[in-house]
Amino acid sequence: MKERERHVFVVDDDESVRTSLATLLDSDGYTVETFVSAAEFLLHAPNVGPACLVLDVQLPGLDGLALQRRLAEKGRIEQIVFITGYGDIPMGVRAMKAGAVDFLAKPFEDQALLDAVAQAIARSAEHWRERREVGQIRERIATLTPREFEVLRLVISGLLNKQIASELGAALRTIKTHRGRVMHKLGVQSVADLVRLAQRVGVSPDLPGT
Amino acid sequence: MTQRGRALFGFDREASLDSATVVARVHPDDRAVRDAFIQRAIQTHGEYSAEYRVMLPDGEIRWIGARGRSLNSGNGKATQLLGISVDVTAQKDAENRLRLVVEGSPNGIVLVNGYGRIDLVNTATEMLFGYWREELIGQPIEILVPERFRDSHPIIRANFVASSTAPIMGAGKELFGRRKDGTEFPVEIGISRIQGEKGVLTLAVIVDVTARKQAEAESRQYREELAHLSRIELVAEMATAFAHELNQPLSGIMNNASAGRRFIAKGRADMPKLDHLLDAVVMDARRAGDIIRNIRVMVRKGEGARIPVNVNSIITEVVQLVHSDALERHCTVLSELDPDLPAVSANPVLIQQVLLNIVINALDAMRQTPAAERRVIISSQPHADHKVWIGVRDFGTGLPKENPDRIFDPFFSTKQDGLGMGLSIARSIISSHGGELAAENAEGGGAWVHFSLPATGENAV
Repeated sequence: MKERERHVFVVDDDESVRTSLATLLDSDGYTVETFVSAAEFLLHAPNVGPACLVLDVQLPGLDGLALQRRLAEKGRIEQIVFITGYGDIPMGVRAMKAGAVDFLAKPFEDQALLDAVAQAIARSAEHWRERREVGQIRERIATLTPREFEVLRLVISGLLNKQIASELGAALRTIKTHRGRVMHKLGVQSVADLVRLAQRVGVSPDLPGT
Repeated sequence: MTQRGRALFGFDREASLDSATVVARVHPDDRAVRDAFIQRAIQTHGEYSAEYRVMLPDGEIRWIGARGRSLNSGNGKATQLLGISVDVTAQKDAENRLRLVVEGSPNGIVLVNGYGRIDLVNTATEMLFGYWREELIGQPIEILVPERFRDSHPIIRANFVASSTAPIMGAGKELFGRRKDGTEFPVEIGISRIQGEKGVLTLAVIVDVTARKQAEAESRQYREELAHLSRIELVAEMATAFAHELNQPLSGIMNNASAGRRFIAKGRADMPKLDHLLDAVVMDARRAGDIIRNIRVMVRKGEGARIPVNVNSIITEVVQLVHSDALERHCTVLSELDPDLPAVSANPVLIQQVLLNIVINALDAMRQTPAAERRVIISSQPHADHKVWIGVRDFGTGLPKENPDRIFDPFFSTKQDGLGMGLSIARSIISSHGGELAAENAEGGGAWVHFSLPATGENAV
């Protein structure tokens, strides 16, 4: 688990930069894979878990900023540390606005890079956890019957059991049973938890009359 | 009075005339003048001639030209005047029109007599030079010429008067006028010779070209700034490209060296691993060196080919190039050239750049020098050691007292907006040609900057 969370990809077309970076990251205990181009990275990089991508801005073909966009579109969670031989401020601003962790001008201090990589890994891990939890919640919601799902949406709209019963044309006791099952299946104790959980996966309330 | 005389004054045939009825027809403003002429003629028994206006009953005004003499009746008292009167209205009108043309001209018009004295000026001349015409008429024309040209001006003027083909002054030359308050302004002067009754007159039409000169100076400065900017931009671009090239191996060196220290700190260092890292460091350092060598080669390529060159022709070109700069600063640029100069092997463009740089510095150094002493002397002479020497002497502030050789340091400048690269680059150009560039303070003030170039056996092209 720990090894997997310390995974760094390096994309740089300059061989000495690429291999020396791999050595430096290796000296700090990271697992490193190197790529000479954005295309090679997209083709071969495993999407295994939390990872940092150390990415050169000036690359032949698809450049670093374009690769950043491409990864965002694909929903990849690698966090990016940019490195550049001649970075200007607008370029750095653009990269940071698009979510980069850092933007370092070559040659950089080893500690600056390692700090940025550590931060990127931490951020990526956070994304990873979030994504895994959301997946788990979705799986649990998938176990609800259509009727139970309907009850869930009415409960998180703030309706009382009595109102839900009248809305669905069912007996109060039936609604109470459905509601108990929903709470149990989703593993929550309170309506407040239920609302939070529904929000995380994007289940919207069903307000009567809307 | 004859019938024609009567008609002239607007009297009919029958009207009885006496001197009072005649005088009544004379324009009130002119009566005193007419009377004075006549009285003088009577008293001196001499001739008279006068011009005056008469006012006809229908309001028409007529100019009369009268000539006559007084006749002595014998007893010395009763005097008769015999004379003729002519209608000169048309002539007067023509004179008036001419006067209006001269006075209305937007350009200064000055008429100078054969003795070099001012005969006539118009209103525009008064405005241009700040004198009233009463202050100018009869004065030598040199009153309108800046002091530093006054000595030579009468000679130029005499030559001009003597020469049969009248040139146009100012065409292609830069001339200055001097106002009453001593300030100067650039002028263009058109000159023509007029054969008058009293000898040759010189007609000068003076145009103030201050605005045009200013516009020219502005556009020149704009051009220079553009050239300067594009040079700076080019340097910046090259620097960026080289920086990027260099940053790659530098990153490699930093990364590998840092990694080595980390391995050592964590006790993970073994000899083969460290050897491998140091090898990578050496390779990257070598690569960085190659990049810098390539830059040098690229820069040297810009120096171009050496050909046999006559230094005198470069000096002549530079004198022409700085002509307007020199005028603007009220400086004179002189050259003292040795006609038997051997050719040197050089890139003429670069040598021109060096000389131009030194001369412009010389001009700039004389801002505080009195205008009359602002001279730059460019000289060339062969030396026994198979070299040609080129010297630039100015009469300016001279070199800095402490450590004068500092002027050759990059980024050293005494100019407010100077980059401080001129002499530094100049020195490297001259030494790349196998010559020497040096500077010292000259005897009697100012700086003396000189450089040598090796002579070739060949003839200059």
